[in-house]
Amino acid sequence: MTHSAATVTSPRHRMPRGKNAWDKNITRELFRRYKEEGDEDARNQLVVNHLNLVRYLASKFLNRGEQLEDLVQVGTIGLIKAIDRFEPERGLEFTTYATPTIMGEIKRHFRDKGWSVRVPRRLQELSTKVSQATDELTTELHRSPSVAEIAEHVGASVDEVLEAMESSSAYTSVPLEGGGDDDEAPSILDQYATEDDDLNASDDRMLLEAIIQDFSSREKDIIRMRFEDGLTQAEIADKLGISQVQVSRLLRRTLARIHDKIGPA
Amino acid sequence: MADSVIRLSVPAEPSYARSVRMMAANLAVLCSMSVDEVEDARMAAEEAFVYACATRPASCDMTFCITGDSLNMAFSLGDVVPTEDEALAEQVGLAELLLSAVSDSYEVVDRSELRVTKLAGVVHDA
Repeated sequence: MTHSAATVTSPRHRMPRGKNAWDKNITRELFRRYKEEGDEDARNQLVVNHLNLVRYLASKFLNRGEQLEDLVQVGTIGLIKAIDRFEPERGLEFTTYATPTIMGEIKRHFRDKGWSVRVPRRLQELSTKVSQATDELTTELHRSPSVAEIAEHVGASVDEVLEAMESSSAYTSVPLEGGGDDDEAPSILDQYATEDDDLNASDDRMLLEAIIQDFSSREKDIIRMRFEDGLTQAEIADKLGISQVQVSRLLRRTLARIHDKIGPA
Repeated sequence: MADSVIRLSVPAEPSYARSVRMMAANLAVLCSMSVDEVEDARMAAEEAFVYACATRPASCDMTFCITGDSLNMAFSLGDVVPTEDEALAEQVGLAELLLSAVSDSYEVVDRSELRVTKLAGVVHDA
């Protein structure tokens, strides 16, 4: 049996709306005619009756850069498979049975196109586009553009732009010199003309926290106060209720330990 | 990872669906979910929000609880019973179908709250 989407466009089949489309008695009768009598018209009517379900499910995947109509076509194949495999005597609602099958077909479509593994590349490319569009629109509009304006400019949805903006933050944590294993990927330096001081400071903090994790709480406090909070030795002494000389000695000793852990530069 | 509870309250309007989706997706990442599972969690949150909006609350209060391997979401509901209105009933029917496909469980508790659970590491057919 073929799964031709063309079968659903026959003018002989009505497109019911609302609850009539999924009326249990109508669906049961159509399945009886199809399964018991091999009535192809009943099968086609079942397809037509559930196209709004396919359209609804397909619309949930619109943020992946495919046209809705293409996804509806793919989803319709899933619907036809569901109709052919459905066993009414098992007592399950057809829509409950068909939904995972239709979604599975749409997801398989993306998997076949390598969508999952291409996410980083896709987002990376979009991120670059968003960055360029932001510059262009800022120049053109003489103000910071809205996300919706950027989305329209790059031909993506607002969700995709937000996702790309989010991902571009993540990319700054990879080495600045290159795009990882993929030689074709643009380097981070291509995207960012200036280094992010806050990010560097954040990286430093993370490194420092990793190094001092097995230090005593007094040593940790002093290091954090001195290098994260920027307090002077006198201020630290005040806070801890010890002398500045003691703070100086503790700092010297702790820094020596840190130096030992990091090793020669 | 210790269990964490995150609360979000937004007007029950479609334009806030994005905020709900993104919150769910970001929290799903914290539960070590795969890309597909994060996508399911995102869809489940959106459908639950659609369901909640159909009950016409003034605002939708959400509680997200993340554990090491699950994301539990609770959505406050309004007083309208969607099944008594044909258009709303269809909307809610579609939302429930999707919820059944992408979440591990969902239930309406005392007509006041919709609870949805998404587990990490559970493969769905869809």
